[in-house]
Amino acid sequence: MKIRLSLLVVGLLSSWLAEAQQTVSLDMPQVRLQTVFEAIESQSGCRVYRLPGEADTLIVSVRCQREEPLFVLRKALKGTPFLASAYGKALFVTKGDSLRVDLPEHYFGGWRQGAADADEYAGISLMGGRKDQKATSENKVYEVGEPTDRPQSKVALTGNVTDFKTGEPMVGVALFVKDPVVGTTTDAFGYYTLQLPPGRHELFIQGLGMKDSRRQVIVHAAGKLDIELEEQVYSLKEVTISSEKIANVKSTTMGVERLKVKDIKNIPMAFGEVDIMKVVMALPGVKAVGEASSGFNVRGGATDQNLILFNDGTIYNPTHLFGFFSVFNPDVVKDMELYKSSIPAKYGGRISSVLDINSREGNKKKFAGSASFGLLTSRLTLEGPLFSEKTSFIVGGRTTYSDWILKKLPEKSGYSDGNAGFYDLNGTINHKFDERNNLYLNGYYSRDRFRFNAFDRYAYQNANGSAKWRHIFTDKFTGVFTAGYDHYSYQTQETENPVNAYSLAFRVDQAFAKTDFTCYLSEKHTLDFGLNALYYSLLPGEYLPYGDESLVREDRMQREKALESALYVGDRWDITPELSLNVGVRYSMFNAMGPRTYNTYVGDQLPSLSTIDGTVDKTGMFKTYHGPEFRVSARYAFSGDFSVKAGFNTMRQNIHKLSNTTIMSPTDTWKLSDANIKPQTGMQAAAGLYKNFLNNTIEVSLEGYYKTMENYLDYRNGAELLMNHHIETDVLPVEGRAYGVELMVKKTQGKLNGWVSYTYSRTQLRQSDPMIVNPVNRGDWYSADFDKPHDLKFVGNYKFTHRFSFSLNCDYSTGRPITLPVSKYHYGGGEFVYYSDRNQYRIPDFFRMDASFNIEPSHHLTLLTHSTISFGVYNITGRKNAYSVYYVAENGKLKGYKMAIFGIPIPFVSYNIKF
Amino acid sequence: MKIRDKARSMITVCIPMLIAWLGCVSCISDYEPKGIDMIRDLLVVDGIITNGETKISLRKSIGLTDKFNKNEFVNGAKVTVERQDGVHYVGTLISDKGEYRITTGELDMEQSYRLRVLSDGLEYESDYVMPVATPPIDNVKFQQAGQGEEVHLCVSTHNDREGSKYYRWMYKENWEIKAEMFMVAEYTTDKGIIKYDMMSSNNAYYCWNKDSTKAILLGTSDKLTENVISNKRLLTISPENQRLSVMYHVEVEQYALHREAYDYYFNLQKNVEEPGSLFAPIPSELKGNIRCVSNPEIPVIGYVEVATVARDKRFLPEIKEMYRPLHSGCAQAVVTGAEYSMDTGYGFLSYNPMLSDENMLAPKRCVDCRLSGTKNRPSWWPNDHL
Repeated sequence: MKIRLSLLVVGLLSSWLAEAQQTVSLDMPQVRLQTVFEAIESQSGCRVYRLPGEADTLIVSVRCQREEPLFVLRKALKGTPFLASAYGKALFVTKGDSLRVDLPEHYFGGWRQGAADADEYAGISLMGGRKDQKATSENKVYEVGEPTDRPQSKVALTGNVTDFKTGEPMVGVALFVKDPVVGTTTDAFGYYTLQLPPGRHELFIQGLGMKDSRRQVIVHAAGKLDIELEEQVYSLKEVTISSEKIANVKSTTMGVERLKVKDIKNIPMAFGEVDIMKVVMALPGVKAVGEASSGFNVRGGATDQNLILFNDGTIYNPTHLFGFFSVFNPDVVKDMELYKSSIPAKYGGRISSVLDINSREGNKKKFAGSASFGLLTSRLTLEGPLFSEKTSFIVGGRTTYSDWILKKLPEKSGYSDGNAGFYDLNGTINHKFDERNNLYLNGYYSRDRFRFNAFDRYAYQNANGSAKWRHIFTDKFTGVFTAGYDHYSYQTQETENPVNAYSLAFRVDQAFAKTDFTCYLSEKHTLDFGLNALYYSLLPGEYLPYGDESLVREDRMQREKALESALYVGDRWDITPELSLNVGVRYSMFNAMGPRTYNTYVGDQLPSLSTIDGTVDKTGMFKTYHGPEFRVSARYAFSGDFSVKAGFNTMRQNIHKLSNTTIMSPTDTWKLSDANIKPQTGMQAAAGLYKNFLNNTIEVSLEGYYKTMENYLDYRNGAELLMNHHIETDVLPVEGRAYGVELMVKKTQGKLNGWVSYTYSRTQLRQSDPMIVNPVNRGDWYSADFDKPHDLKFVGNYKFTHRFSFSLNCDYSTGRPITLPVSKYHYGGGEFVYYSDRNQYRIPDFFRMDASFNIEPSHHLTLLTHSTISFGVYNITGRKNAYSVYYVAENGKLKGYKMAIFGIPIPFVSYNIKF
Repeated sequence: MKIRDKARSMITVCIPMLIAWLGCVSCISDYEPKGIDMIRDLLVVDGIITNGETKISLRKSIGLTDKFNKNEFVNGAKVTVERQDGVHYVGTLISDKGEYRITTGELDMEQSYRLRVLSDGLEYESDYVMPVATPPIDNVKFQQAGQGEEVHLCVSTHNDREGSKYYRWMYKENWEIKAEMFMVAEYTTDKGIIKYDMMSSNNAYYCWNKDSTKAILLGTSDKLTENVISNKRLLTISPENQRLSVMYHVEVEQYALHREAYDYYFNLQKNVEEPGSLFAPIPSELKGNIRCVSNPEIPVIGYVEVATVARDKRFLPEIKEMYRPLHSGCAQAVVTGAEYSMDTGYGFLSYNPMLSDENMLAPKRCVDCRLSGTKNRPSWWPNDHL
């Protein structure tokens, strides 16, 4: 094994001449060091700097033939307290600590003392099958491959991008060289592949929440270069919420929002709880019906049209405590991506958006943890290496202690017997077998329960488990194999009247397996393809007597089972540096599976109890729906900071949420498509302009979209959704259209950063099926519940110093549509109302401003713990934003009310510790 | 039983309570929406065709923010119950409140019935409906979970397995109250001193009150193995309520319903019970079974059900154990002296015009039951109070 040590030359490009230096030959037994220094100086032309007198008098022996001066010097100093270093033609001799002649690898990250590993000082590290190198410094030149190789036109540079501090892979990091323009981003495992012409390149690296960085590389042949990046330590400077400064303009995807949890921690939240879902709702194009709802609407889609993935598992109920908190523990979540428009072909199953949330990998380098104390919840997270640096774990837990609130309720209220609570647990283990094989194991469990008196009880659970194996076949071909299991269920019990006491349960179970491959065909083509399969098993309802006295009739709905499978292929095609294209097609198939008994209905009429034609019993796959989904997007870059993009996609959805409430409710159930319920389909066309200003520190984007939906389910008046054995008789197919323009200005750097977004959008529905006898609003278009045309959002953060910052959050929107009564009358002794058209009126406009002040006491790395405190006020102006306006009868008399959920300013404080 | 609604209302009640406790954050304030295009003058047909006498009320709807007045009553209409075999029963107006009485006699359970209304030149008719046989009421009683807890007026019934599983109840209440102390006389500004005695109804000691259903009360056994309604709550009152103080009588009417009528009524009630809450369903209007024949575009409100009636009327003696009178403080409020003699806020407990300084008086709330009741004693009231 030949190790060629060259003199170090790092930092300045001009000093890239080390190999031209003279060599030194010496044979000097038992001489003074001074003599050795002089010999080296005379033979090599280098100069040896040292403190006079200190070293000169030591006696050493040295023998060498045609060696590099530094090597000779180090040989001579072996066994002495002195160390040698070099910088150009200058050699330094120092005592104890060696002199760093390059910029420290981790400029802000502290000095690694006494590191005398020769490799660290070598200016150029070589790959050549010798040793993994981790490119950590901007100023070194990293060489990949042997220079003697036959020249090739393109070579593949691959590697992993990891976090210097924790060893976590960095996802979505953009890497590119400017001449020629070649770029890529790291995949979900931090892996990248770049096709470069051989030679010297400056590799630019940009990623979310990281300092912009670059690496000097000389590429001779295909090889591997792992890159360690330093994350942005301070909360504010360049804290970007969605970074990719150039990537914003460069990538072909549009309507994608990336958020890192660590970057959203300063956004003020009610009760001081960091909540990913709430931040998602602050993004343009995302709306929520009201303040206390975690169901969200993306570009006019319904709340059940969002695929919420947590470590590949589907989360059916993303909320705790009726929507006040999301089920995602912010200490464990690493980042998330929200796809509003260009949905990659590998995702499917919902027609509106994909929210992909990933938990962090545990710290591979040291044991660490964090704890947080809020008014309502506390969290604890532990992470660290397991056995070796190849394995790490992270576990997190969160719980609430809201019981005391209910306990304080006056006895008369009837709720003092109540309690409510939730907890969630996360665990992730990842293991690196070798360079080519990684294994990830994820587990998640969350549970909510509440009880407001001794008789009504309610609980729900999410559980997910998955295993993922990632294998790198070749530098150009990687595969990911995932399998997992998801569960969601709820139970209620009502026992007040023993005769009517019942328990009701609903559950969804699904098992999935996915294979996803990425193939870097050439510098122009990156191919993604794979196969997904998902097996659903739903228990749509189980209504059982509770207790001995109960006369409740046992009622069990038939299990619903189905297989949803899809095959996809997508190609990212860089036609020219300016024009690139993402083309994907996903062919999905849905097989409803028996055994199942269902009604058939008279052909040309809507299913209803009066049009039942017969009943059939089926086993096996009794109904199949299938069809292609197209995902196309293109980008044309007029310049490095200006581009135009357009996209088109179609989607299919086979599972429907049954809910006639405005927001997601904990008693919502889900229904699979079957012989009588067709899958929902959706189409979206979008186009946008992207321009960066002021050295890419200000990103401006303007996106417009038009979207249609078919077979979205609406409900007949008076529909019964629970325990309905023939739900098709209570639902109606509805078509929808949505369009809008989203303008966003984002500042990613400097003392002030954040974003302002304005959205104009409409979402309308129509019951256009001619078979519907009394369509809502006579079959005209009517506003969907979340149709809020004007929407202005501001999220900003001003950093006074590295430790003190101020965050402000403003939200204005048109009031949501509401159905108000238009007439009233007496009936049966009371006053009643008459409703006319649906959603003809709006509640008053919404405005809220929140502020918080954040203090990070110290960032000193030697401190054992790091704590942050933030305090602030939610709804500073105390505006009583209407959640709803409505009429209720009280003792037979009607009265109009407006309800505000957070109608006064709410101060909060939260405290986090990291150790 | 609509489980979903049950679960939801549970949540909707509680969330605001929960939030309220997080520092009185949630607030509900009065609201009058502006700029609503109101609809007025829709015909409202209220009543169930039943055996014996059928009472149908005809009214008109008014704008949402309008005030009800006598114009809501439709007094000049022609109301007819029609049996499918062609027999017609003509109704007569019995009050100026749009109430019509039709003497239908025993219903023919093999024939269907409908209602026809002629009003303002427009003709309305309901669908032909077969009568539903209503089972008798098993019992009516007050129920209380424990001393000092709320008191519920409950009804129980059962029906054959093949019989209807859907029910509606209406009730009429009468109760007696009495003042804490007997007022022998009072001073009035127009008539001077009025003296009272217990020998006739000329007193303010015994009074009576009445009330009736204020909501559409529904129940179903469709989720049960047996067709049983057990202790369905019709009314909930606090143990301090005056209904429980002396004597209480209630008459409950029970009607079994078709599923369609139940759904219609249920929706009406739901629309004024739980809109606006966090998980409230989107309100919707269900069409009833009556339509305007002259102009099908004109909406009509109401569902004309046909059912026999079951009645149970009784006094409820259990009130004695449940009543928890509020501390009135009347014993301490008794005053003596001439300076109260001309005070209309006080009544005399002892009255001697010669010794006005020695007369005892008490605040009216302690001595005048007419403040919360009337002297209209039901003719059939069984005790000797006057």
